[in-house]
Amino acid sequence: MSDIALVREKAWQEFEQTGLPTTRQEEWKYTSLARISSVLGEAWWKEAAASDIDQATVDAYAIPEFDAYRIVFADGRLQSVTSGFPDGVTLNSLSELLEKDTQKAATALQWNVQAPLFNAANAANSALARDGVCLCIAEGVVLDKPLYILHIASNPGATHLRHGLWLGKHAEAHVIEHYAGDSAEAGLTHAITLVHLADGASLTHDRLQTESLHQFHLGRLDVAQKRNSRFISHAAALGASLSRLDIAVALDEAGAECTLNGLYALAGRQHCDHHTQIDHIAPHCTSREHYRGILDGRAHGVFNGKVVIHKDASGTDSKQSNANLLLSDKAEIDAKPELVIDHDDVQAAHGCTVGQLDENQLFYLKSRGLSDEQARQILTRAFADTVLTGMHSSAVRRFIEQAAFAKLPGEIASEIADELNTAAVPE
Amino acid sequence: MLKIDDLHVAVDGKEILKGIDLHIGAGEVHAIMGPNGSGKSTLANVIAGRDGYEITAGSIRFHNNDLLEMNPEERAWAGVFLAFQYPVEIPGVNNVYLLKAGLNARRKAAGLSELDAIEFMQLVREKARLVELDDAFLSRGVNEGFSGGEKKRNEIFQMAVLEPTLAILDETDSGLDIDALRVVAKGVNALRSAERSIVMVTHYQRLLDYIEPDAVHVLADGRILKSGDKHLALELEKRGYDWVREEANV
Amino acid sequence: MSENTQVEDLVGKQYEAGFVTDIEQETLPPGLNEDVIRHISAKKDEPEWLLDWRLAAFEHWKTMSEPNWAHVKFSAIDYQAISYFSAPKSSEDGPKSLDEVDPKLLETYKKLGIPLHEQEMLAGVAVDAIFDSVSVATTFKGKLKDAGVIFCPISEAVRDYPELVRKYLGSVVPTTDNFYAALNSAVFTDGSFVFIPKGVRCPMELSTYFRINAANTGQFERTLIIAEEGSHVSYLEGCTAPQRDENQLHAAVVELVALDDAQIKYSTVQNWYPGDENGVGGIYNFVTKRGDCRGARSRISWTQVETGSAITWKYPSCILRGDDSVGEFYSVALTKMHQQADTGTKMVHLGKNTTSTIISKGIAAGFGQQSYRGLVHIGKNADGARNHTQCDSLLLGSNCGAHTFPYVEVKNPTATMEHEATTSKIGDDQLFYCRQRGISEEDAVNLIVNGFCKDVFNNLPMEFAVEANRLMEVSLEGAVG
Repeated sequence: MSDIALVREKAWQEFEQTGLPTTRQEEWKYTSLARISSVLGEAWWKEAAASDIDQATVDAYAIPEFDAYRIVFADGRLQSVTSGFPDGVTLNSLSELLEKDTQKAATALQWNVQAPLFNAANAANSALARDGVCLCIAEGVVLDKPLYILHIASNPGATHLRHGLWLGKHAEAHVIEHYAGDSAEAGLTHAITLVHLADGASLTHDRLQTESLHQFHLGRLDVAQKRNSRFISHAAALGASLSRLDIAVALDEAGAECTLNGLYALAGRQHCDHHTQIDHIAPHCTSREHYRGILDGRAHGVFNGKVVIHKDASGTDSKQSNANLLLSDKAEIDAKPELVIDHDDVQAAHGCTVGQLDENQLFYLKSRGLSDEQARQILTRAFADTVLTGMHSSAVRRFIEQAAFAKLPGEIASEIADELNTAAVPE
Repeated sequence: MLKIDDLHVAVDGKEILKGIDLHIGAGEVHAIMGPNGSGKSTLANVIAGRDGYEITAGSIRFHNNDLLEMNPEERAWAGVFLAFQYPVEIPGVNNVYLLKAGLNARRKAAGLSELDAIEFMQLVREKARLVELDDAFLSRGVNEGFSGGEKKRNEIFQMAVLEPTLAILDETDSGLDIDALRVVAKGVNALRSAERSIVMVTHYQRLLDYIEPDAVHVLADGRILKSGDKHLALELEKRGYDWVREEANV
Repeated sequence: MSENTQVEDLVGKQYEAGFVTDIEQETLPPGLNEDVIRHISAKKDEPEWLLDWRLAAFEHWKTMSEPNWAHVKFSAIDYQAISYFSAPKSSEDGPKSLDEVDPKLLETYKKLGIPLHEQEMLAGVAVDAIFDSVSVATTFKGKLKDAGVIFCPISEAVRDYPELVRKYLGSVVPTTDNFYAALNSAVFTDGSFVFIPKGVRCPMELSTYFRINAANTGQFERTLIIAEEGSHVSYLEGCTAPQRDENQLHAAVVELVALDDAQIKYSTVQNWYPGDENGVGGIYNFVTKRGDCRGARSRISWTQVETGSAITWKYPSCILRGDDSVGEFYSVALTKMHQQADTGTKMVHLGKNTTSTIISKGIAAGFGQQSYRGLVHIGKNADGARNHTQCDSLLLGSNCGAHTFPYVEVKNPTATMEHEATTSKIGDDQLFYCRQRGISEEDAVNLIVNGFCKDVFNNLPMEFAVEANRLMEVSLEGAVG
């Protein structure tokens, strides 16, 4: 039996023994996965059928006017990939590696017996993942255009994706993971991304989830950072009926920096859970985290941001904030910004707010002649936009803004909104 | 009173002061001027005893005591006062309470009885008037939420209360508008006396229009390149520092 | 270098209240079963309903397990090795006035700095002193009685005001609430009972001192405070215990009920024995405290200064049921040596326009572990609810830890909730500034810590503020950050 087969078997056993996490577990207190098995059945993990989608369909889902290397998956299987990567950049699909180079797959995608399985749902991914992206960038190489990984779910059933992003010393890249679809039937997307940043490497990572409102989405982003590396993440969760994203960043060596920004805009009966954990293991690392949520209808948002400052992490600088806007009396937010600190030489702060639009700002806009509704819309958009301002690509940012704002009540010409956003609203 | 001889100071192995000689007699006011990064603040901090400076050679004697052997509070008890360039905020700690603790610690070290609350408050009110500091500032946290000018006035107010024999004003004038500068200068002038020496570390000649120094020293590249009277300051204002450097090199 | 040695000095600070009062005790042998509960109930001459209540709690307790989610570590407690009743023998007959109280007990309180006589004269504080499991003396009964205020040991209240006790006991903290509350309900021995009738402002601060004296005993007091419509009361408790090598359990329950427009202020200065510098001995302080703002415009404030106990597990909470009711929590907790504290509050907003404020200041030194754990829950109907939480930690030394676990649950769009937390150490530049003004390093640390705690100390009644300040100073002696 090959190594990977062994890992798959072990992971499967683990999954079968423990089953999906339940709300009795602290990490899952506010998110019940019971809906997954009740809707998809006992064998919720069963793979979706393959589908073949044409270029026009892909274009309909894709971020418009976005110049990038593009790799497309349809229902968990590689569909197409652009070519012409610069020297020093290798991109393989996982399916290809599983056929040709299982050793590389095992290394790059952490498919070894020692690797943590995180939780039973993630264990199922280790057992079942069949495709994904394996990107390796050699020392000093800068990927000249963003890599855009688009996944489209159209058939019922589950897809298990596994991506590995390896950046060598001082390598740089911008990677966008986009999970899309508008299937009328329920399915599950389950994607794990493993990131390794060598000394001085820099990765900008955007993760967009705009799936069908019938879809379940389980995601995990696991990042290991070496000396002076930089990781900047933007996560936007807009789709799916139930979604959960776990982000874990390990600042393993001195001088590493990470920024985690996120936006969840939810309506209807959507349930969205973000669990992030930043481990300050080495001294003089910096972390910044800023998540914002807008909840309408009967939406339920969960944010758990945990910062752990370990014993040797002197000179740590960590800030975290989470702000939420509830637009409906049926919406709910559960937030838990945690700090675990085992060292005294730290600067750490976190904050969390739940509230309404600022009355002074509303008044200001109305005194300039805007209607109450207009003023509310503008401020709501500005609230969401705050976490997107640092995004590298304006095409991606515009795409997220449009998708997010489309979900909010009311309509307004976006140019007016843009103008007023920048002019009138302090952070 | 203060005798600094051949003082060499390094920070992280880099030499900042390269042999300073400076003698200040009782009642004298000396101004130390110089470009940014010349070591002015280092000198002020070393006299007050801040950590992080390595004295590689030389001595500082104050009233014939070896200042370098004393810790910061002992220096304060001996009469050394530093008006900070960047006064620190200490949230929740009452401004007056800090002063009372400081003053009484010094009196105790000198074998004097501690002031009671009433005597102390009288003293404090009187000194606050000197720098036109509103009573409300007295009961606030140390420098907590003070503007830049308020912080600087607070430093002079503290100096007035603690009545040091050697006061070092580290860029007390920087960041002040002209009115605030006048107030500060008035406070300092009121505190001039035959027993009290004052060292003003400054960047600009402006302060010296209001507080007339007995001597002016130019500190650049870690050395005192030139000393003179108040006319030297005016000349520096007109001609900058380069000519002093050139002259010193010749 | 010096930083560490001096922090170790702090860690080694002797426990000042650690002495044993040599008084004959009548103590039940260790162990817990129905017979023990029947014995306690019989000893207290309790009515049938209360015995049944205790037994039901015990039945339920047997089905429960200890909570394990707190950020604390300790070896398992053997509940059969604890004695559940201990009374000084001389109090069998029940003292009628201070003069009848065993002089040795009074001496004990003097050592603690709370001479009853002096307080009686100077402070006007009525004191109910709980020594192990029995209330020893309640001062000022007469004056309180004139105002209509009932302040007595709860066992006495069971006898004299059974209908009041029956109506309110367990109505805020049900017997099934949690493991320790269930245990307390089964075996509680004494505690205070306070009843403030409609419209009455309690004419003085009410105060209780708790002390665990006998070895191997647990203390399970139960306090019940009822403030009727429009009444006001301020209640203070202080706690100490002698130095012993073994851990002792303290599992109290405090229930507060505030009806319309009533106000209850509950202050605690807790200085139970924290154990020695190696983490041996000390009190396990597993306490359930909860206030029910049952009436409109009612207000409950918890203020606590926690410097003692080996382990603290305690979350004084407010159920803001009445519209416009107000809940407050002000806390300073210091952990040094090997102390562990997992403490915080729950603010449950149910009524409209309810407001809560949480200010928590945690200081960790030595090997101390400090956790803030709080819940702010804003229910569906709590229109206009507001919460502000400020939660700061100060670390002294590199072997300690400070952790923050805030839970925020909001189900109403008109609610406003703000949570802010910071963690820092004492800045070198702050220390140098103070020293330049002539203040020694040690005093400077004290000064800065006191400034750090000021928002909370300001909320303590005068007498306690002084005591709290002194306690912090004593605890921090020799500490340099």
